[in-house]
Amino acid sequence: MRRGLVEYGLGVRQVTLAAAAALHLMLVGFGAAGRVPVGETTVIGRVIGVYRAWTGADNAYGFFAPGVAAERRVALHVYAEDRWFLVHERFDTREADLRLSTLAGLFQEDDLRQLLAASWAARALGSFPAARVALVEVQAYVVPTMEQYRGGAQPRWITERVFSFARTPAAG
Amino acid sequence: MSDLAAPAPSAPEDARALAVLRIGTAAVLLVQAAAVGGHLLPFVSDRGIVQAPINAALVHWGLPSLRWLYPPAAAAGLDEAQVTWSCLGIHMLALSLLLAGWRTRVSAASSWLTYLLLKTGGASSAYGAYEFGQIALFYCVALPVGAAASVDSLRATASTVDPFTAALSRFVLRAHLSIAYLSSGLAKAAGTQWRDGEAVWRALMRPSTAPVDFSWLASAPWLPTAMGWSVVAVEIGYVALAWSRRTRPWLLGAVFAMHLGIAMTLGLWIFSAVMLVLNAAALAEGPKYRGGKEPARA
Repeated sequence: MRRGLVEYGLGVRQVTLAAAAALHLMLVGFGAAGRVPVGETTVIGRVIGVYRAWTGADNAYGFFAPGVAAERRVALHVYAEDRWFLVHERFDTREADLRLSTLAGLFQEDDLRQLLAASWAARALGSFPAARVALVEVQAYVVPTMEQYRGGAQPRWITERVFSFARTPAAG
Repeated sequence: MSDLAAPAPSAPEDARALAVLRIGTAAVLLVQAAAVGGHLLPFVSDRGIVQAPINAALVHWGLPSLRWLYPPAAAAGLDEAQVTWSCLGIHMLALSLLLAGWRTRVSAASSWLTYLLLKTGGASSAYGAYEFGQIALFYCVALPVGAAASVDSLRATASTVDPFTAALSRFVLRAHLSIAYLSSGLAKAAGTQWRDGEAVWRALMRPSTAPVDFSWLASAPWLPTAMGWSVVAVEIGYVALAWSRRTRPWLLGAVFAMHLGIAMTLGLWIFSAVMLVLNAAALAEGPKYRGGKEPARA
């Protein structure tokens, strides 16, 4: 005969495991609701915070919600040896390209934009030792609504932002 | 009716389902590691696209970091790239052992730790597949995933499974997925894009995710609208359908169809595979236990 969980007979071990599971699921629920159960100003709050981070219980699961954002990519324009070079970073595996696309999506975040652009420019200037200037162009793929598309509008890449960086002479 | 009150599946059935979690997670994450491994440095190294301090700022302070390893590794003559490659190598070895179920708990913990190191090192480029990969590995550490179809299960010391723990483990998986899908479904329903089909349209028209031309959908807007509502219905309905043996096969079929569709149309193969593994472990039913000999109790 098959039995329900409550029919297994609950000893101390089972009660402890069930309580731990309930606590874990409660933290998962807090994470899904975008709430922090206990602020990290206390020791217990910090312990819970670390547990949530390690286990993934802090995840809010907001994938493609409430809507689908425009895809973004970065075009690097590097000026070296009296000409401009255009660099679109691409990889030969789908997984790596997905990570690159995720990275470019962070340009939506106000507080990260400048840092990301600077980081990307540093990589470009590092790759082109002769380069003096790097432009980081953030492009967004704008998809018209279905109605607009039927009216003739087409999806297209637009330039959203451009950040410029120049190599400064080495100190000393 | 909840499994807490209704007859629960037999312990061997639960153990087999948890083995699906172990084998599936290890296999999918091995593919993920192989797919991104050759391109890891641009995402995780200090000289990558995003410098390490930015990645560090995006993650919780208590998570492990590859940067912790750099000073002792430097003392041993290893540079940052070699530390990263070593971590990836250990990660893939640990996943292989987890796949086989050899010293399952240790190999799961090693896989989890190295996954966290690599994920936090490239936090700015880690997407949904990495979030659920981390969750799946945590459950491989915490739950008895080596109780069936494993090297450990062939050894006398690990040949029995505690029926309560096995049943509770699957309960936790179902509850976690119910919370995740409900949260995601409610967030989608709160906007207009999923209700009027524009979300599906936009997703399928993204240049990096759509391997085929879906522009014809603009002439049949009812189809993306129906697809959008279906996704919201499956995600919100998950919590109601996951708890009965009668509805689970239907739910599993719907979830499989949804994630297979995501994989095929959006190219999110790793993400979909992780979700399919988690759902199979949580929802799949084996052959009905027909009475007779009672499952072994630990």
